[in-house]
Amino acid sequence: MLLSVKGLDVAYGRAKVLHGVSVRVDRGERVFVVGRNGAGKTTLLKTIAGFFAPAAGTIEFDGRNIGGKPAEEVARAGLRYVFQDKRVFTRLTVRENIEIAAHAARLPLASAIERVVGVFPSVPRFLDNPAGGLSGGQRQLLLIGRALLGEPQLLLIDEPTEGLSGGAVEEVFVALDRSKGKVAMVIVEQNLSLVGKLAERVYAVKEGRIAAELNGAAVRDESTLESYL
Amino acid sequence: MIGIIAYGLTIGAILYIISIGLSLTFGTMRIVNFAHALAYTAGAYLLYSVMRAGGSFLLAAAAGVIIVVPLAWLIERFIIRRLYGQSIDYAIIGTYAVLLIGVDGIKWLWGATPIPLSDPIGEYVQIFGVDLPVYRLVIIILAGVIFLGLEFFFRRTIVGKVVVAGLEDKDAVRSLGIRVDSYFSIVFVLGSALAALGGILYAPITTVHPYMGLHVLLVCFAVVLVGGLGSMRGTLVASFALGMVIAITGRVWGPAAETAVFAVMAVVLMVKPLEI
Amino acid sequence: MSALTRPKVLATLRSFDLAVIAVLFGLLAWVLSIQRVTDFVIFAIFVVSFDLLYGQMGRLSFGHMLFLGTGAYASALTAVHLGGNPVLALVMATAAGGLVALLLGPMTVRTTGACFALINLAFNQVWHFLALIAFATWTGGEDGLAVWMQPVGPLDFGDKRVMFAFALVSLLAVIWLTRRLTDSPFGILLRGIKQNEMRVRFLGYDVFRAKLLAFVVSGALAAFAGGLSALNYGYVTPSFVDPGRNVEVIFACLIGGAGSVYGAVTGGVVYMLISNFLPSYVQRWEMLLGFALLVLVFRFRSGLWGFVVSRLGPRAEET
Repeated sequence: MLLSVKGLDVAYGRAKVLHGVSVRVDRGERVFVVGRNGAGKTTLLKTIAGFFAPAAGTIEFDGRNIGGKPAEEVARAGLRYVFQDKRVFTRLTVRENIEIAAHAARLPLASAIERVVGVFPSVPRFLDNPAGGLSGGQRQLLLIGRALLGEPQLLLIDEPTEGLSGGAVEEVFVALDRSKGKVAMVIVEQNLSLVGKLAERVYAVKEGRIAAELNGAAVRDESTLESYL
Repeated sequence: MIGIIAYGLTIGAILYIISIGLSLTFGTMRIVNFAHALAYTAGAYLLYSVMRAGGSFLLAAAAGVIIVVPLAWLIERFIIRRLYGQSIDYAIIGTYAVLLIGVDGIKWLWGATPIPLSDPIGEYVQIFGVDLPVYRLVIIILAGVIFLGLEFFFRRTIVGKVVVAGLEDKDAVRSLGIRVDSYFSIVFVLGSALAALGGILYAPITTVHPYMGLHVLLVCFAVVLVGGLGSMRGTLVASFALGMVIAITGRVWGPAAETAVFAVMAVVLMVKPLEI
Repeated sequence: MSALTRPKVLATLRSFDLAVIAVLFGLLAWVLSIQRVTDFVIFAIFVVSFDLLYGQMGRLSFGHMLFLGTGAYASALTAVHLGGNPVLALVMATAAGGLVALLLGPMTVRTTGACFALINLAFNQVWHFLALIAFATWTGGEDGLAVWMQPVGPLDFGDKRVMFAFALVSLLAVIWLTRRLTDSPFGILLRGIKQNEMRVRFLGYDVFRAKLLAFVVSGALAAFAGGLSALNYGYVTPSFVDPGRNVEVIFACLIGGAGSVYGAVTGGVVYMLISNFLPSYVQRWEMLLGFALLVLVFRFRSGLWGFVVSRLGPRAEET
């Protein structure tokens, strides 16, 4: 059991956003999270990643209790979060974006770039461009490449395919597949047909609670997934 | 005319040197740091004391900057850090409290009477037929050097790049496992050291008194707000622009010089309000 | 006291608040001196006006002295140019404050946070300059103006007891007014703006008008305090507009407890006590004030009144 979340309660001020959420992820496993806008998916991921402190419940990662620990500590422990909206450091070049992640991972820049190439093959062409000039799909690949530099054991990815065309979506999942089995992943996805094709296990989040945990055949059917939202 | 321009550039240079730290602290920590004025004032007083003890201007200047560094670190560690992420009002009040304490401390140690210092170079140079103090030219050049140094720092060093990234998206930097706050602390201390330098450089041109920091700080707020929070280029432009406003207004109607700056700030803020 | 009777004590205090406050101030005047306590009372009005902006609406202004000064100078100028009728002077003072707030408000209330604090400070600085230098021929510059008032019927402000009584009644009226305001839907709206302005706007309320109204009321009340101040001292100087003195009202509001009229009054009195008596014992009292502010900011945000409420009030109470 790599990640074990039990009874998680999260509140914004006085408003409770997550109620008693429990999820688990095994080493190397890939799990999807679906739910409507505002259901609490991002809050769940961000809390696990350390950006919010839970009001109640426990988060255990790799045998350690990380609930309430700050995001940078959680990241160092091997749990990386990739933000929505494909946020790169727009004012820096692509090379500098990688440089910062390399610095954090204590990797020489050259090796870091090599590793990112594995995920984002055409990156050498863009190294000196401002990262803000990349397309959505390219940014997503850069973000994934960056996150993987620290050799995390678990990647939390928030809506990687949002706003991407079919080709770009495929590139993203090709990149993610390269780490399949080695790096566990929790992927928030709105695209239910995609989830149906790729997922083995799915959590459905509805109004701050886990409405269902689905495996196998139940996952294949879009309408089944939808019914839980 | 040349005199006004030179004076405006000198003031602008000083404002720039002091305002950098303020702008960076605004941009990185979203904190309005009234205690910034303390670094400035302390620099000036330390300059005075070391020179009085027999040191040369250069030695005293270096001493002033060096001594302020650990003080700034202490303030950051024990006050500023606790104000992170809090409502901005508490940051304002808290740092103002630090300023109060510091100013009273200065009054205690040095007394409240203003201390005039003299031009350390004392030479003049002729430009376009006007005699200008060399000292002022040195200040202007120094500001230019500092600007270049900062450009280098933020564009070429990894610490600078992390700060630039953190200014844009702090959480994304954290998600890479970097303790951004430590980098921001470095920037805070750097800014405070620059403020101290500003106080040291300006001291011979103005009089040294316990409230000099607050006085200048308000003008620096105007600079930072007009130039844009966390924007190095904006701070540069705004410093010199407001420096000229002060110089020109000062020539037309002496006492109104600094008030003119506030009028400008009010206008700018109304046209372009901030998000904090 | 059992947990059931504690809220009752608080509720009882609340319903007889005006009487209780009057008695307490009376006692204080008897113990200290009428003149000093009149000062306390007037400052309390000023703090209440500030709390309307800060405690209720969540906007910290670092330039509220602007309004105090406006009221003080308005009432002094009325006395000089329009005859020494104190009632007229006070009316003019309040009106001047409201007018200035109406003029500056549309520009400042659109801003928030640091921007709001600093833009008010900027205006305060400008005002101070105007009083000290630009309009010195009218304001008397650094020396200020003397204020002579004629008696109006039984109101002879030269008599310190009359001054005290009038000030106290004014304070009680202001408290009553403010309570009604804060308990009304308008007050709820203000607190909503403090919590989450955007949400209130999406709910369809005219947020700008509400903020402007609060700003004008606050400014008018502060100017009223300023007018009273000028009457009480018998003179007005630029120190009434001194931006450096903003820290006084901020400290008072914090130590009393922001967000509550009673907190504001408590804070005003406490600050006055400190600033009146501490300097005689402690030379470095400003440093102490700074430390006290830090303690308030880090540990004691709800202030004295907040502390009282948490002890005496029912569990999850909103003042």
